[in-house]
Amino acid sequence: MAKTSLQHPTLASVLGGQQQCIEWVEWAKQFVLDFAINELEKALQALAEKVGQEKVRQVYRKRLAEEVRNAPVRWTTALDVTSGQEVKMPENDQLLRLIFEILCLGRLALFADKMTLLTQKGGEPEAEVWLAGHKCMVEIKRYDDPVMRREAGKMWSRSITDPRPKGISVPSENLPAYVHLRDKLEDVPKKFKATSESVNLVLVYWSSWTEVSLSFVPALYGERFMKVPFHPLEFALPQPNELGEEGLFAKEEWRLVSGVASLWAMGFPLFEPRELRWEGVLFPNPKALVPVPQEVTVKLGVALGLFTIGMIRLPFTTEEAEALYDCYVRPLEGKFWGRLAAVNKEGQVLVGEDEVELAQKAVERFGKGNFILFRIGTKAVGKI
Amino acid sequence: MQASQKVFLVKVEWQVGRYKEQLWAQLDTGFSGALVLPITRLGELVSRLGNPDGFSWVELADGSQIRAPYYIGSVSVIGLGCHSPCHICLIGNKELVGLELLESLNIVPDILQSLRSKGIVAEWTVDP
Repeated sequence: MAKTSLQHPTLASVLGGQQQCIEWVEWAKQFVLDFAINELEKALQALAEKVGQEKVRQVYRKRLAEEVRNAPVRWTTALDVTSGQEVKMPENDQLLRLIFEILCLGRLALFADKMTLLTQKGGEPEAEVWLAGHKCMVEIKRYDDPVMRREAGKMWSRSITDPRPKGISVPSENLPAYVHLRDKLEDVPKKFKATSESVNLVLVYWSSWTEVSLSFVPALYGERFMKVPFHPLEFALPQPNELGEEGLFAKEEWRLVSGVASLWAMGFPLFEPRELRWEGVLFPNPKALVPVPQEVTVKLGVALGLFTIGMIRLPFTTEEAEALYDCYVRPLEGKFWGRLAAVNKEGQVLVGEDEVELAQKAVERFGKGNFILFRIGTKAVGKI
Repeated sequence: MQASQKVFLVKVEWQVGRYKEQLWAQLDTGFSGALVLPITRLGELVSRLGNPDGFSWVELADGSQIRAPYYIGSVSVIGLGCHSPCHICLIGNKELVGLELLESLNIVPDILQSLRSKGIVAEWTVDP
């Protein structure tokens, strides 16, 4: 039994002792995997190194030891992916929310110049984090499932991409996810000081990269920007005057918010996780009083796997790329069928046989990222 | 018939510039290139490595064609040591190693020989 607390010395310190830690871990295991508890320990360690053990204990002791343990447990019906059968699972949303918050902050602590955990008594965000010399105020959110339903006395939840449990119909499911998200985020600017000169970031747990175009994009920029499928490189950041009125970024009070991220942390591999992977998209606010500086987006990319919209852009649209092929490469099909062609926007073409050699030449001649590779004849360089 | 969920995973090391990383990738004989990383890593990789070196026109399994960003780098199978120069493409949602890597390892003749020794008629050829 003592082994458990030895594995989690920081958690034990926060909770006030080894015995408390052992009991807490045993309790938490009904809701989360051992892996998550180990990651929680690592995050608490990273935070303790950055802000001091005492501060971590001050901020998290009560929340871990009391608040989440007293939180209501809801029973959800989920699909067991191996058997295809429905299973009942206990869920503690507050615990999941708190673990997500600590994991985020622990990860940021590893990359921050300096950091302060805020007590949240005055409705402040969770932390002040200095990234690449910039003061960032970070608010972290994890909401209950937007399409959670009570059906036939059973609660169940799913992320919007998951299959629905068998035999359960959901007549009211057609309320779009972005409406839920927009409603929940609406008051977030109150967390930030009106005179703030900081970069104000909101990190929201969201478990689907592909579904952000149905949720975050319309909730933040307006419904007209909703486009499926979402491709982060092809999504052009709207100008301030293009924002839809119903989008949160169009609102005056939202100018305080520099950006909102959809963020996901997942154990990998899925069934026997050994490492925690982060991924997500940061949506900058085109009207922000303090935009997200590029150096901060770089830090967020490494720390949390966040791709910031507008970070890079494709040199051409799909239509432009196809037009380049038709105009400059198709005439070469007779002579060079099967070889590779690198084409830039001006229609300059390099032909070669080795993909890597040709790309290196093209980088030298046209510049990094300023060209596209085609295979002459079939257009596609490769299959996947 | 229930399809098996088992896949072949190969541990590889990839490198772009000075940045190196080891990972497990799924062996996919439907993929003609060497290594694919999930597009969801784009933010992290742009932060670490700068903008992608280029974009490539790629055909997906459903026949559609898209542009995929890539870095010029190298990849090696752990245990074999030798790094092969290749494009590291960002696309889809999982790590994949493809036929280009198998070819560079020169093990395709062994695979063919093994199939043929069981009476399986097999060829290593261009996709008809």
